[in-house]
Amino acid sequence: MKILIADDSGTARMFIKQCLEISISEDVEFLEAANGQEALMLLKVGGVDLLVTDLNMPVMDGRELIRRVSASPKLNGTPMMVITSSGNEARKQELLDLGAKVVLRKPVNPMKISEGLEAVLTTPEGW
Amino acid sequence: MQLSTVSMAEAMKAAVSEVFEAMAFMEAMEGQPENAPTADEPVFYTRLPIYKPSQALVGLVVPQSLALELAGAMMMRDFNMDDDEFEVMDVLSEVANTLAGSLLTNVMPDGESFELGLPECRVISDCITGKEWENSEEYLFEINGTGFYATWESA
Repeated sequence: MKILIADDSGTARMFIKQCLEISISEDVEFLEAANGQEALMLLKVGGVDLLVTDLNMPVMDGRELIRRVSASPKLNGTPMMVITSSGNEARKQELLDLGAKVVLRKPVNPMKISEGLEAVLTTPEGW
Repeated sequence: MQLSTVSMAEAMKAAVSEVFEAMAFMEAMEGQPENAPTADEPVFYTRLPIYKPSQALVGLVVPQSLALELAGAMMMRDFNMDDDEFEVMDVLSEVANTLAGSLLTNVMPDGESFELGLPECRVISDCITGKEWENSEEYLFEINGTGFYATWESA
Protein backbone atom coordinates (compact mmCIF):
# COMPACT_ATOMS: atom_id res chain seq x y z
CA MET A 1 0.00 0.00 0.00
CA LYS A 2 1.25 3.48 -0.86
CA ILE A 3 0.14 6.41 1.32
CA LEU A 4 0.79 10.06 0.55
CA ILE A 5 0.87 12.45 3.51
CA ALA A 6 0.52 16.15 2.67
CA ASP A 7 1.25 18.59 5.48
CA ASP A 8 3.56 21.61 5.63
CA SER A 9 4.77 20.55 9.06
CA GLY A 10 7.44 17.85 9.13
CA THR A 11 6.39 17.19 12.69
CA ALA A 12 2.82 16.52 11.65
CA ARG A 13 3.91 14.25 8.78
CA MET A 14 6.11 12.23 11.11
CA PHE A 15 3.41 12.06 13.78
CA ILE A 16 0.74 10.92 11.30
CA LYS A 17 3.14 8.39 9.78
CA GLN A 18 3.83 6.90 13.22
CA CYS A 19 0.09 6.65 13.92
CA LEU A 20 -0.53 4.98 10.54
CA GLU A 21 2.30 2.51 11.08
CA ILE A 22 0.70 1.46 14.35
CA SER A 23 -2.70 1.12 12.68
CA ILE A 24 -1.78 -0.82 9.53
CA SER A 25 -0.46 -4.35 9.62
CA GLU A 26 0.62 -4.65 5.98
CA ASP A 27 3.71 -3.09 4.38
CA VAL A 28 3.25 0.58 3.65
CA GLU A 29 5.29 2.92 1.50
CA PHE A 30 4.96 6.53 2.59
CA LEU A 31 5.31 9.53 0.33
CA GLU A 32 5.43 13.04 1.75
CA ALA A 33 4.49 16.45 0.40
CA ALA A 34 4.80 19.84 2.07
CA ASN A 35 1.86 21.41 0.21
CA GLY A 36 -0.98 20.63 -2.13
CA GLN A 37 1.01 21.30 -5.28
CA GLU A 38 3.71 18.81 -4.34
CA ALA A 39 1.03 16.31 -3.40
CA LEU A 40 -0.71 16.73 -6.74
CA MET A 41 2.54 16.07 -8.61
CA LEU A 42 3.12 12.88 -6.63
CA LEU A 43 -0.47 11.75 -7.18
CA LYS A 44 -0.11 12.21 -10.93
CA VAL A 45 2.85 9.81 -10.95
CA GLY A 46 0.30 7.20 -9.89
CA GLY A 47 -0.03 4.29 -7.51
CA VAL A 48 -1.16 6.19 -4.41
CA ASP A 49 -3.76 4.18 -2.47
CA LEU A 50 -4.60 6.82 0.13
CA LEU A 51 -4.10 10.56 0.40
CA VAL A 52 -3.90 11.97 3.92
CA THR A 53 -3.88 15.75 3.86
CA ASP A 54 -3.86 18.80 6.06
CA LEU A 55 -5.92 21.83 5.04
CA ASN A 56 -3.81 24.75 6.12
CA MET A 57 -0.76 24.68 3.84
CA PRO A 58 1.16 27.27 1.82
CA VAL A 59 1.29 27.33 -2.02
CA MET A 60 -1.79 25.13 -2.44
CA ASP A 61 -4.01 24.36 0.52
CA GLY A 62 -5.71 21.06 1.22
CA ARG A 63 -9.14 22.25 0.15
CA GLU A 64 -7.86 23.10 -3.32
CA LEU A 65 -5.96 19.82 -3.47
CA ILE A 66 -9.13 17.87 -2.71
CA ARG A 67 -11.08 19.88 -5.25
CA ARG A 68 -8.48 19.16 -7.97
CA VAL A 69 -8.26 15.45 -7.15
CA SER A 70 -12.04 15.14 -7.27
CA ALA A 71 -12.17 17.01 -10.58
CA SER A 72 -9.50 14.87 -12.22
CA PRO A 73 -10.78 11.82 -14.12
CA LYS A 74 -7.43 10.13 -13.44
CA LEU A 75 -7.32 10.83 -9.70
CA ASN A 76 -10.88 11.05 -8.50
CA GLY A 77 -10.99 7.49 -7.19
CA THR A 78 -8.22 8.22 -4.68
CA PRO A 79 -9.53 7.87 -1.12
CA MET A 80 -8.85 11.05 0.82
CA MET A 81 -8.57 11.52 4.56
CA VAL A 82 -8.29 15.06 5.95
CA ILE A 83 -6.55 15.67 9.25
CA THR A 84 -6.95 19.29 10.22
CA SER A 85 -7.10 21.66 13.14
CA SER A 86 -9.99 23.43 11.36
CA GLY A 87 -12.26 20.43 11.48
CA ASN A 88 -15.50 21.69 12.96
CA GLU A 89 -18.85 20.43 11.69
CA ALA A 90 -19.35 23.15 9.10
CA ARG A 91 -15.93 22.60 7.53
CA LYS A 92 -16.26 18.83 7.77
CA GLN A 93 -19.42 18.79 5.68
CA GLU A 94 -17.88 21.07 3.09
CA LEU A 95 -14.89 18.74 2.73
CA LEU A 96 -17.05 15.63 2.49
CA ASP A 97 -19.06 17.35 -0.23
CA LEU A 98 -15.83 18.13 -2.07
CA GLY A 99 -14.83 14.46 -2.08
CA ALA A 100 -13.01 13.70 1.18
CA LYS A 101 -14.05 10.37 2.70
CA VAL A 102 -13.05 11.07 6.27
CA VAL A 103 -12.32 14.29 8.16
CA LEU A 104 -10.47 14.07 11.46
CA ARG A 105 -9.88 16.99 13.78
CA LYS A 106 -6.43 17.47 15.29
CA PRO A 107 -5.12 16.42 17.74
CA VAL A 108 -5.14 12.86 16.45
CA ASN A 109 -3.79 9.70 18.01
CA PRO A 110 -3.32 6.16 16.66
CA MET A 111 -6.82 5.10 17.75
CA LYS A 112 -8.48 8.05 16.02
CA ILE A 113 -6.50 7.41 12.84
CA SER A 114 -7.28 3.72 12.98
CA GLU A 115 -11.00 4.52 13.15
CA GLY A 116 -10.59 6.91 10.24
CA LEU A 117 -8.85 4.24 8.18
CA GLU A 118 -11.62 1.80 8.90
CA ALA A 119 -14.15 4.36 7.74
CA VAL A 120 -12.23 4.90 4.51
CA LEU A 121 -12.01 1.16 3.95
CA THR A 122 -15.69 0.55 4.55
CA THR A 123 -17.06 3.32 2.34
CA PRO A 124 -18.35 1.88 -0.93
CA GLU A 125 -15.81 3.67 -3.11
CA GLY A 126 -12.88 2.88 -0.82
CA TRP A 127 -9.78 1.22 -2.23
CA MET B 1 -15.03 37.32 18.36
CA GLN B 2 -15.90 38.85 21.70
CA LEU B 3 -15.88 36.40 24.56
CA SER B 4 -15.98 37.00 28.26
CA THR B 5 -12.65 36.67 30.09
CA VAL B 6 -14.01 33.67 31.95
CA SER B 7 -15.18 31.93 28.76
CA MET B 8 -11.82 32.41 27.06
CA ALA B 9 -9.90 31.25 30.13
CA GLU B 10 -12.00 28.09 30.33
CA ALA B 11 -11.80 27.45 26.60
CA MET B 12 -8.02 27.93 26.63
CA LYS B 13 -7.66 25.60 29.59
CA ALA B 14 -9.69 22.89 27.85
CA ALA B 15 -7.76 23.31 24.60
CA VAL B 16 -4.31 23.28 26.25
CA SER B 17 -5.22 20.23 28.28
CA GLU B 18 -6.56 18.34 25.25
CA VAL B 19 -3.67 19.20 22.93
CA PHE B 20 -0.76 18.43 25.27
CA GLU B 21 -2.36 15.22 26.44
CA ALA B 22 -3.13 13.98 22.93
CA MET B 23 0.08 15.06 21.20
CA ALA B 24 2.69 14.45 23.89
CA PHE B 25 0.99 12.53 26.70
CA MET B 26 1.79 15.49 28.96
CA GLU B 27 -0.55 16.79 31.61
CA ALA B 28 -0.78 20.58 31.46
CA MET B 29 -2.43 22.27 34.41
CA GLU B 30 -3.04 25.82 35.51
CA GLY B 31 0.30 27.39 36.36
CA GLN B 32 1.53 28.83 39.63
CA PRO B 33 3.03 32.33 39.37
CA GLU B 34 6.35 31.16 40.82
CA ASN B 35 6.72 28.76 37.87
CA ALA B 36 6.11 31.38 35.17
CA PRO B 37 8.76 31.80 32.44
CA THR B 38 11.59 34.13 33.49
CA ALA B 39 14.37 36.07 31.81
CA ASP B 40 16.81 33.37 32.95
CA GLU B 41 15.87 31.01 30.14
CA PRO B 42 15.17 31.67 26.43
CA VAL B 43 11.64 30.98 25.25
CA PHE B 44 10.18 29.78 21.99
CA TYR B 45 7.44 32.19 20.98
CA THR B 46 5.00 30.78 18.44
CA ARG B 47 2.08 32.75 17.11
CA LEU B 48 -0.61 31.96 14.65
CA PRO B 49 -3.08 34.40 13.08
CA ILE B 50 -6.79 33.75 12.93
CA TYR B 51 -8.50 35.36 9.92
CA LYS B 52 -12.11 34.32 10.38
CA PRO B 53 -14.59 34.88 11.95
CA SER B 54 -12.51 37.87 13.05
CA GLN B 55 -8.84 38.66 13.28
CA ALA B 56 -6.97 37.45 16.34
CA LEU B 57 -3.66 35.88 17.37
CA VAL B 58 -3.09 32.70 19.33
CA GLY B 59 0.35 32.22 20.84
CA LEU B 60 2.50 29.90 22.89
CA VAL B 61 5.45 31.01 25.02
CA VAL B 62 7.43 27.94 26.01
CA PRO B 63 10.77 27.92 27.87
CA GLN B 64 13.57 26.18 25.99
CA SER B 65 13.84 23.24 28.40
CA LEU B 66 10.13 22.48 28.17
CA ALA B 67 10.17 22.92 24.40
CA LEU B 68 12.92 20.29 24.10
CA GLU B 69 11.01 17.98 26.43
CA LEU B 70 7.80 18.47 24.46
CA ALA B 71 9.51 17.79 21.13
CA GLY B 72 11.15 14.69 22.57
CA ALA B 73 7.84 13.37 23.91
CA MET B 74 6.08 13.93 20.59
CA MET B 75 8.78 12.61 18.30
CA MET B 76 10.06 9.91 20.64
CA ARG B 77 13.75 10.87 20.58
CA ASP B 78 16.12 13.25 22.37
CA PHE B 79 16.35 16.84 21.15
CA ASN B 80 19.07 19.42 21.76
CA MET B 81 19.38 23.06 20.79
CA ASP B 82 22.61 22.65 18.81
CA ASP B 83 21.16 20.21 16.29
CA ASP B 84 17.41 20.48 16.53
CA GLU B 85 16.40 24.13 16.99
CA PHE B 86 14.45 24.33 13.74
CA GLU B 87 12.76 21.01 14.32
CA VAL B 88 11.68 22.17 17.77
CA MET B 89 10.22 25.27 16.09
CA ASP B 90 8.29 23.02 13.73
CA VAL B 91 6.98 20.97 16.64
CA LEU B 92 5.81 24.12 18.45
CA SER B 93 4.23 25.46 15.27
CA GLU B 94 2.23 22.25 14.93
CA VAL B 95 1.22 22.39 18.60
CA ALA B 96 0.13 26.04 18.23
CA ASN B 97 -1.83 25.19 15.09
CA THR B 98 -3.61 22.35 16.84
CA LEU B 99 -4.20 24.49 19.92
CA ALA B 100 -5.78 27.25 17.85
CA GLY B 101 -8.11 24.78 16.16
CA SER B 102 -9.09 23.19 19.43
CA LEU B 103 -9.67 26.57 21.06
CA LEU B 104 -11.86 27.84 18.25
CA THR B 105 -13.79 24.59 18.10
CA ASN B 106 -14.50 25.08 21.81
CA VAL B 107 -15.71 28.67 21.48
CA MET B 108 -17.44 28.73 18.10
CA PRO B 109 -21.02 27.64 17.51
CA ASP B 110 -21.21 24.34 15.60
CA GLY B 111 -22.44 25.81 12.35
CA GLU B 112 -19.70 28.45 12.03
CA SER B 113 -16.35 27.79 10.43
CA PHE B 114 -13.08 29.56 11.09
CA GLU B 115 -9.90 30.17 9.17
CA LEU B 116 -6.38 29.89 10.57
CA GLY B 117 -3.18 31.34 9.15
CA LEU B 118 0.26 29.78 9.18
CA PRO B 119 2.27 29.70 12.41
CA GLU B 120 5.57 31.50 13.01
CA CYS B 121 8.04 30.55 15.69
CA ARG B 122 11.17 32.26 17.00
CA VAL B 123 13.48 32.07 19.98
CA ILE B 124 13.48 35.06 22.31
CA SER B 125 16.40 35.26 24.70
CA ASP B 126 14.68 37.40 27.31
CA CYS B 127 10.94 36.96 27.70
CA ILE B 128 10.63 40.01 29.93
CA THR B 129 12.21 42.76 27.81
CA GLY B 130 11.58 40.94 24.53
CA LYS B 131 7.91 40.40 25.22
CA GLU B 132 6.36 40.49 21.76
CA TRP B 133 2.99 39.35 23.10
CA GLU B 134 2.56 42.31 25.44
CA ASN B 135 -0.85 43.18 23.98
CA SER B 136 -2.15 39.64 24.45
CA GLU B 137 -4.01 38.03 27.29
CA GLU B 138 -1.67 35.56 28.99
CA TYR B 139 -2.89 32.27 30.41
CA LEU B 140 -0.31 30.55 32.59
CA PHE B 141 -0.02 26.76 32.57
CA GLU B 142 2.64 24.37 33.76
CA ILE B 143 3.92 20.89 33.05
CA ASN B 144 5.95 19.18 35.76
CA GLY B 145 6.60 22.51 37.45
CA THR B 146 7.73 24.41 34.34
CA GLY B 147 5.41 27.24 33.38
CA PHE B 148 4.43 28.37 29.91
CA TYR B 149 1.92 30.81 28.48
CA ALA B 150 -0.86 30.38 25.99
CA THR B 151 -1.83 33.80 24.67
CA TRP B 152 -4.80 35.34 22.92
CA GLU B 153 -5.07 38.71 21.26
CA SER B 154 -8.19 40.06 19.59
CA ALA B 155 -7.77 42.60 16.80
